[in-house]
Amino acid sequence: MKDILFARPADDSAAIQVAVWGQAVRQRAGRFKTDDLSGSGATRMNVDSQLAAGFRHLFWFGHGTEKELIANGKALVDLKNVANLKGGMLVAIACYAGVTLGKVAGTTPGLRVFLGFDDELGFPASAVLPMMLAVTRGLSCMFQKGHDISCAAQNLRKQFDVARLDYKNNGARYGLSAGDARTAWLFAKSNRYSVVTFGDDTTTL
Amino acid sequence: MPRDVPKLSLEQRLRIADTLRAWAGSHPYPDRPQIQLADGSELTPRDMARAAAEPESLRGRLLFRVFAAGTIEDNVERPETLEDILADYWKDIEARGSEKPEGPR
Repeated sequence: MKDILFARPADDSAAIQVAVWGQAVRQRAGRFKTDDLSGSGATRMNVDSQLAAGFRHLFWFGHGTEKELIANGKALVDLKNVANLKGGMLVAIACYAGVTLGKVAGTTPGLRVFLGFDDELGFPASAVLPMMLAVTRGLSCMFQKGHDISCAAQNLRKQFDVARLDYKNNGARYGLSAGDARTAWLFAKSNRYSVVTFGDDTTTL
Repeated sequence: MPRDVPKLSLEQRLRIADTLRAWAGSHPYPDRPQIQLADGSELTPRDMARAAAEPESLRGRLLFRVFAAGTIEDNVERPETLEDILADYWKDIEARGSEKPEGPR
């Protein structure tokens, strides 16, 4: 059995951006056995076959709805196949999956815990770096220190706080006007308050 | 909606809508995506103004949730009012030489 399946469909400009964040997170997963479904390789068939082959955890970087993680308008992860995880975590860097999909964690065989967002995940198109750092640094304690997913959720929130202060204090350095920077600040703060976990948040990688 | 955020009053929502309409009207790139969303959509300044003018639309509800989240008080920084938040949009509007509206902002 392998540890972590990364899925990064990169099916449009926003998903391409988020897929890069997933690549950066995977770079920190050196001691774990991982596999990666990216771009055109991220299909329902491939996700299903990989989950059947045996992965404890799934890290998704792409689009989401309340009930599904999607690419090209199709569900790649949903209530049907998420149960094929082997007792681990679903981390969904995606919109809305915390509304319904994530709530099955702990009650669905195979999925012990969920970390994601219960609202839109938004980031400024022209100054994405602080948001990327928020996600990559937020999740890093699980990889580098063996911390549990509860700690990662707290870190993620703290790092979105760092991002929002960065936009406020350094917006001009990113080429943002006062209003542009405030918009970025608003979404960083909104992201921070949208982070949710469900299930056994003492789970580690 | 899923998140527990403060409710904005009608008067607050109208102020947001007025501000974003003026801001989008003065923006040098009103149709360039400002925010990318991980549901695959984007928000331009004009989209934001349109969303604020349609508070019951999906995007209108999103926009007002985001502004409401902006007013949540926490220990990260000095609490800010909606007026503080909107003032940054008015800085842009004034810097771009657009007319100031009448009445309070």
